[in-house]
Amino acid sequence: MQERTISYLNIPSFPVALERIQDPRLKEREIAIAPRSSDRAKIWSVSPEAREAGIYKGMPVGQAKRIAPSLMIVDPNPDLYKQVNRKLETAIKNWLPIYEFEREGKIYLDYTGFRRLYGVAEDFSLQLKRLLKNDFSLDCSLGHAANKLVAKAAAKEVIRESPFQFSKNSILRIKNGQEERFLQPLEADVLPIVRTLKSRRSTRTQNIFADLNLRTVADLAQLDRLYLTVAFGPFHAETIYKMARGVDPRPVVPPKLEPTIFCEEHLENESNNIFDLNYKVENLLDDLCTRLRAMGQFSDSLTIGLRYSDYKYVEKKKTFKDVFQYQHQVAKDLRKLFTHILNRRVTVRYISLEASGLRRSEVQLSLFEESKQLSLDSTLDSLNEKFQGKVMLGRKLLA
Amino acid sequence: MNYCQLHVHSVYSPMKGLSSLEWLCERALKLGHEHIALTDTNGLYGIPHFINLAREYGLIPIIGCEVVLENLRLVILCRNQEGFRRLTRLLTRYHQDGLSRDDCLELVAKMSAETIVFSDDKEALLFLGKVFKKEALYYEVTKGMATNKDLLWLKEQQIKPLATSRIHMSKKGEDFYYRLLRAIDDNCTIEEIDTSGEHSTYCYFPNNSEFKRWFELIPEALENTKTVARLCRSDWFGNKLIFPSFKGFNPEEASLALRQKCLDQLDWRYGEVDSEVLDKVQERLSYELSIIEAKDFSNYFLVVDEFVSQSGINCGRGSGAASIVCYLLGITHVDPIKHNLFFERFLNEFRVDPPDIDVDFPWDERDDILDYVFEKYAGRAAMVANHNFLRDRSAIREVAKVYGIKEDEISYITNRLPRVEIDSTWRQIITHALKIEGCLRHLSVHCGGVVVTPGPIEDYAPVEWATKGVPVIQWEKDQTEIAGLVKIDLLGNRSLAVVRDALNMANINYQKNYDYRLFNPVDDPKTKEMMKLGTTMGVFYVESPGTRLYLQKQRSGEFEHNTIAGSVIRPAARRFANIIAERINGKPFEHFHPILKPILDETFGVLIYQEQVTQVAMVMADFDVIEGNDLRKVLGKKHKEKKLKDYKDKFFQGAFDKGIDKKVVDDVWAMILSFAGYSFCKPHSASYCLVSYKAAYLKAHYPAEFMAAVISNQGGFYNSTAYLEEARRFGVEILPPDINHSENHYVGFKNYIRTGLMQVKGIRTKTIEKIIFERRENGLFVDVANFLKRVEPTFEEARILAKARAYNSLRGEAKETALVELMWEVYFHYAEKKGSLQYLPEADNQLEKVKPKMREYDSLQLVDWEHEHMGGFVSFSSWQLYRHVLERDDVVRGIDFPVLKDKYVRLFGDFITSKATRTKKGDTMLFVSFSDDSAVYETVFFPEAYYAFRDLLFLGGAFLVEGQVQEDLGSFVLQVTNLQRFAQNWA
Repeated sequence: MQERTISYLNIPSFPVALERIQDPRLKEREIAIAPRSSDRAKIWSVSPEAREAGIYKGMPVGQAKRIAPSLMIVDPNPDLYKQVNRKLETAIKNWLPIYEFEREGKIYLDYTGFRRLYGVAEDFSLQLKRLLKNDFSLDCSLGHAANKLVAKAAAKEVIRESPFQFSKNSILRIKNGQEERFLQPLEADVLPIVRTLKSRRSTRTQNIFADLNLRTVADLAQLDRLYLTVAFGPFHAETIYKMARGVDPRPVVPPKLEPTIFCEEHLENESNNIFDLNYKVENLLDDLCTRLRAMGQFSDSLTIGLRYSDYKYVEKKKTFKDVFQYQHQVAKDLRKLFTHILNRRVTVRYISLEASGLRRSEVQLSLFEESKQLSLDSTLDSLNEKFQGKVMLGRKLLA
Repeated sequence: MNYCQLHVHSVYSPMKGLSSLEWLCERALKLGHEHIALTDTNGLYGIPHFINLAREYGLIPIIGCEVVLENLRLVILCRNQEGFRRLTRLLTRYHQDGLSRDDCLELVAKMSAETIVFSDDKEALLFLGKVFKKEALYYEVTKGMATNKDLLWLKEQQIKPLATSRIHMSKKGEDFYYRLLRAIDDNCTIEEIDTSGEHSTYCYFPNNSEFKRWFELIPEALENTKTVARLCRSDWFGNKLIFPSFKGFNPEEASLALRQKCLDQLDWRYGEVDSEVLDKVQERLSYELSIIEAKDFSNYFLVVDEFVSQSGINCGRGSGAASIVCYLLGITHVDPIKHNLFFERFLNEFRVDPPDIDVDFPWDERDDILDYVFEKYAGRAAMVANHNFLRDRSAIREVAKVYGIKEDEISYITNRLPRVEIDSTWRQIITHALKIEGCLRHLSVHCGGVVVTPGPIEDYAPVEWATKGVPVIQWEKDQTEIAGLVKIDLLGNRSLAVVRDALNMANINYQKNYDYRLFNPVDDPKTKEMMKLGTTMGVFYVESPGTRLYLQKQRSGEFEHNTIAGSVIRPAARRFANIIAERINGKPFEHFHPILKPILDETFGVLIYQEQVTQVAMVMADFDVIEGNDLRKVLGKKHKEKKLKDYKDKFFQGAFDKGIDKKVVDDVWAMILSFAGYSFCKPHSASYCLVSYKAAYLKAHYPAEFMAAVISNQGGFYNSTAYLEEARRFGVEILPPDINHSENHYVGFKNYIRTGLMQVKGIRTKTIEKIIFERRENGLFVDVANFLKRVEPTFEEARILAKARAYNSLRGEAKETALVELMWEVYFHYAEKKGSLQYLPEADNQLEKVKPKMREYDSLQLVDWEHEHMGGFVSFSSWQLYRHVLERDDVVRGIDFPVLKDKYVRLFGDFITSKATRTKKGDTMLFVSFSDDSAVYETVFFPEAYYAFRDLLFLGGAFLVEGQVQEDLGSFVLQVTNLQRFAQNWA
């Protein structure tokens, strides 16, 4: 079997990096991305400078401000981060077919078999860094190794050593056979299974490491299967046993791409008025259906999402028995769906609607005359086509 | 005026009324109405206040209620006392069991002779029409409610119409606020609220022409209002005091029983006094008994005595402590003769309001006493309610929620108002909140007020069930009193439990025989010394930093002086604190006027106790006892300006008539006014002071037992870490919790305290009980596996105990087993129990293989766990973490303040507690107590320092405190100029 070469591309503090591009005044300052409205809001991301001052992701804003009074709080812009991430994906796709987005700004690349095309992994990394710098003005670190675990650890380790400087040096390759030695002195958190266990809701798994004083990978590696089973149960014991020795068979899994149609609205004035919100949802549905018809597509699923002003995001999906193309076919169900997720009094700042399960028409044409509603919609579509989308219809007619 | 309003909701309709009682009465008076009804929704929450107020305004009040069920709505007005009784029964039934439409109509049908009913529910009217006479049943016609079309039907059925406005709002155009209230109540947004059917834009208090115009087509409906009003009487309400009945005794039997009981107890209380004192005692006793008998209060005393006898430990509070009858019955423990306590403040022949005996019990026994009351007087007793209204911040919070503002932002703004910038939405929210302020939100239970009635309690007031499972009447304490119900306060007091537990431990450890009821250490030198020095942390009532500072200024161990101290630290008299302290220490003084000498001599010329107000008014301005008492009462009330002016005029006139100089009268009046806040009467102060002395005695002689009791009972002024620190200062060693040695609570034994398992957070009481039981029954635990097998704690509990080092006694004598190995043993036990190891191949499943070398916890980890699982540091002092700071040359000690007067110094300080107060300019300043390895010391943050360092202080922990040492009458305070917080680097 061919030896694998996995790379991990890490753009540290991705949201901070993007905010800094938007507003260069934020450079080299202690920044935290968090909702500014409240002291209890949790921090989404911190700049290396802020991390140096003792601020970390997930800390309440109030506490952070007390620790570092000079800390600048920047309101999050999740939609911008998504957008840039999408562009990043398009760029990467042109280079390598096998990649996996771990999170926004964190990507696994499977370089196995590409040496002939791009040269050794380090050369490829330099090209990638240049691309990111030129096209996105972003800095990154890269780690190469035979598996995902070690590649990621390497990329993170490079950053940990020099958090403020990104140069040629921010690339680290761990040679085959050196994995275990490289991992030993690192904190146990470097193993994904450890992070997973620590982030579990159950405090039991969270606390095992502190309880048994297992702080580094070496602490875990010295335990045999019996002790690991006692601590973590038979299921996780085997994984930890292997990972602590640098073995990680997880493949890089490219994203499944499914075409969807997506509409969204950022509310200029946040509102909790049910009538206003329903109106916005109807408008989004109008928009969505018009696009469906323009593309000659039918859909069988709708996902509605909303973000409250306290940044809590909820969404719900419904799959229909029959495909739809016109708003009146799903309006009632959509309203029900929306009422179902709108179950708080907090104002809403963002609504999105996504149609998935797209397909070309397989619907048999009607033998009889079109219903009035359908002919109205078709007429509207043709008018819109003629007047470039400037035709509006009173809401009463639609209802 | 030939009509009136018969369907009126006030703010006492829970979240359904916007008008205050005052506004409604004023409006009715202004419009020339003679009658006004109050018909709040499903309750009589405001009736006593309403009746008082309407009478004050010269209106005739009508008692009523709108009963609203899911499918029924009708209004019931009471024609007489019997009608009221039936209505309270119906409401009690509604709140306790719920009512169906049919049940409700059945009940209403039975009150046909005593009530008047109106509704727009035709079916209900037809049903009730079978039993109600024509003049007692009406069809309710209201503008805007689509009811006017039914006149034909009325004629057919021969039911008369009645005009109402269903007043929910004060003025036209307040619909929005009504909808806002409903949205708050229903927990939804304002757009989702549907008030049709219960409310219209016309549901306000109309003026006469409007009201007439609305019903010009049915003038009969208007006229009927007057007919109805004339039939309803409420003049019987609140005229008679309602006392409980002891064993069904009539007044004579009760008097005899009380007299006999007092005489029986004479020997117990006064067995060893000389005949002169005994004569005084007997004279006072017969005087008190004569008043009690004349007023028929004997039953009341016997009932209170019955409650008190359920516990061996109690403390009478309030003016009742002035009564020798209470002293003999054991309700109070301060001798009123010896301490010269003024009985007339409690009872006198002119006093019309009921006596008020409040009794404190150990906090953990109070629920048992209440259970006893509700069992013994089942159906005849209930708790007094507290009314929770929408007040400024809560109103703003609720409106903001309706507006969809997120929780965090609401807290941020409301906590900082008015010093925060707000946008237009918030301005709107606050404006709306001001409009709905004062609406009744819900009932809660008064902390200790109990009402016992001679007959079923639901005949006297509507009764609901509180969430904690006790019956509660719909009125709070003031309205309870207006309604003539006599309240007994049975309150929980933690310090009584502290004294009880410490006495028990001292009795066992030192083979003593202290009896709480007879134990009186006021002359004990060690106790007096402690009160003098103010080393009273943990001692009931005198442990707060402010009081301890005052004790240091006062420097007296005398009981009389410390009784003054108990009163002087109240806000009302606080500004005289320094004056009193100086005078106690011998500074000469003169009375404002010689006439005041007999009254104010005992308090060094300053008016300290409540009853002195009455006495001063009596001697200076010839007030009689009732007026003097009223003046005292008015001073403690809100919105007293109008009434107080009358008293002021009378006081000044009376004093001038006696030829007293104006300046003297001004000064005395100013001193009286300083009582506007909260102040005590002497009997109360003396009663509490005695408990303080008992506690101080125990602390002085048995510090380990006493401090263990203080921490075990929790809820003191300081946290357990601060108390443990204080115990260490008294030479007591603190031992950590241990499964082989600890009890549930802290236990003091001569010179050490063993931490109780209660201190370990996250261990269930059930488990603790099992640990103690198992240990007693089957001996000590030998190892971790043995413990886990015998006690079967949950996995979570087992590991918390390991982290709290409670398995210490299982480590061997030389502590050869590492702590981390004990934790592994816990994990092994539960893994085996769960069966996790059975899947392992045989080769792996062998413990005897080479044991990996476990890394032992570092000390910071252990410190962190102790902090996490014990809520503070138990096994060591927090300053031990900061030895490097304490060893610095420039760091002084708190105990050295007397030799550092006026110097700028730097100290280590562990934050203990703080108290904010306002300067004359209205700025905030803060008093903070810190401790170092030598003492607890007090500091003051003036506004500038407060604003600079409040955020740091808010975090708590350890600080480097800098400032100037200042002396005030022998007490020392550090005026802080700089503060640095140490990072909690163990965490």
